[in-house]
Order: sequence, then C-alpha cells, then structure tokens
Amino acid sequence: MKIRLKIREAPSLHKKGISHIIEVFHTEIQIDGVKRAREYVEVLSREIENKFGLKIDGIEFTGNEDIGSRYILYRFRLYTKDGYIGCRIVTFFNRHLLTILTVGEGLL
Amino acid sequence: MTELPPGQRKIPTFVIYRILGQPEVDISKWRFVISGLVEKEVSFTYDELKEMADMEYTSDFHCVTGWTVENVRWRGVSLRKLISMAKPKPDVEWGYVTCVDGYTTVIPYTDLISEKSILVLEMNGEPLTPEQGYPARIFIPHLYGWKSAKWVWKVELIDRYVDGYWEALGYHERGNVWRDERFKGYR
Repeated sequence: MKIRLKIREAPSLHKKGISHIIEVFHTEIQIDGVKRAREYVEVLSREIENKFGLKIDGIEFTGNEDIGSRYILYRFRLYTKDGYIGCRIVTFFNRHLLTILTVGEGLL
Repeated sequence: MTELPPGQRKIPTFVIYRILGQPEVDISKWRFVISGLVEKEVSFTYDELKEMADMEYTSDFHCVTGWTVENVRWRGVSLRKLISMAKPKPDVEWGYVTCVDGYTTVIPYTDLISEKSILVLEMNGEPLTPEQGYPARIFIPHLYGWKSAKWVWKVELIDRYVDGYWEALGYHERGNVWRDERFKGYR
C-alpha cells in the first residue's frame, strides 16, 4: 500500500488548537469495517513516523458514523508522548476517499 | 411531499451543533460586513437589516450528516442585494464567511449570489434564537447546512479558494445537496 502524505497549515482550525492538517487522498484501498480501518491506520502511522520523525505510541478507535447513505467516517487517535494526532478517514461505498490528520500546536 | 436529496432522511426538528461554543452577541456592537474585493466595504446594523428584509420563503434544511428538516420558513435579506451594494470586483470567485464564534466557511460566489441565498433574521415567524444563530445566519437551500453559517458577521469576497472550518477537515468546497457533494475528492 503506497500512501502519500501532504501537510499544510490550517488557520481555520487554530481555535481548536490544530496547527496543521495532513491529507491523504485516493489510496484505492477497501475499508469495510473497523478492523480494516485500523490496519490502514497502522500503515499510516508508520508513514507518519518515517516522514515527520514522530513516535506513535498507541492507536485508539474513537468511533464511526454514517454521513449520508454512502459515506462512512471513522475516527482514530494516534498517541505520541506529547498528545495525539486526530485521524478522520472517509470512505465512499467502503472505498477510501480521503484521510485528514489533525495535528495540534507544538506536536511537530 | 417534497423530494429529498440523495442520502438524506427526514427528522422532526433541528439537531443543534455549536462546535466552537455558544457565542454571546452584543447587538449594539454587532455589524454584518461585506469586505474584500469590493469597491466599497459595507456594514449594516441589526436594525438596518430588519428594515431591509425583503425575502421570505419555505425550504428544507439539509445537514451533511444525513438529516433533513422539511418546510422551514426563512425570512431576511437577499444576500445578492447586500453584496451588490458593495460593488464586487469582477474577479470574485468565493465568499469567505466568518462568524462571531470564530467559525468559518467558504461558499462559491455563484451560489452566494444565487436567487434564494439569504441572510436570515427570522425562522418560522420568530427572530433567530441564540442556538439558531441570532442575530443572523446565512441560508442557501441547495447547499448543506455547514455553509449556512450561524452568528455570521463578515463575508469577505476573494478570488482564490481558502478552507473554512469543515473544509479543512475534508468537507466539500461547494457542498451541493443534489450532487451529494459531502467530501472533497468526490465529483
């Protein structure tokens, strides 16, 4: 599975304490439940560790919900020693559409 | 019976979201401002807007999460009219909306000045309640509810796309309910 991460600042989220977002689009993988989503997040975590030099100490699934009748949003937290990175995975008919990682101020 | 957009289900009343908390608005200081790529920045007090109220219609409200409240009565001022008073420059492509609580969203200019785009002052015959965005909120019937920003105070006309709050979290640049435009990456 090849994942390309794109990081950028997120001024509209500063009020929530988020300084950056990391985006992942169209990996063409199937995510048809929490188990597959977690496997994907584990791969994603290794990419984050390699690219940003962060150590991910743990992954927590915090919930999922339907958005309309064709999209599912999965939420995870990726814990580091200083806090966590929020992870929002969106699927469309159980195919990955996009992932947004939210990075708090001072984490990077 | 009205037709529902794809993926929507009816519910009997609004679910209230206040992602950045419930702001307190001092109506004596509050202004609605149109700025950015305009010949003349304009601002309006609440009383001035009440005097200008020229639009009233019934339309459904569609939340991107999938629920719809039918037959809501909206009353307020045409956004097309308010924006025209600022004399927008020809290169305007987007409206960047800022609210009292710090919430932001971005709306394509063509949708912002569409026929039914309204700065709402009343819902169902009553002034907006605090949780529905008093003193004013935007409503555009064919866009999902996150574009119908509550407690709005400024629309900045710009020529390049900039993420608002939910757009930064992956939600669609336009959000047309009839095209199921919930997230970026889906066309």
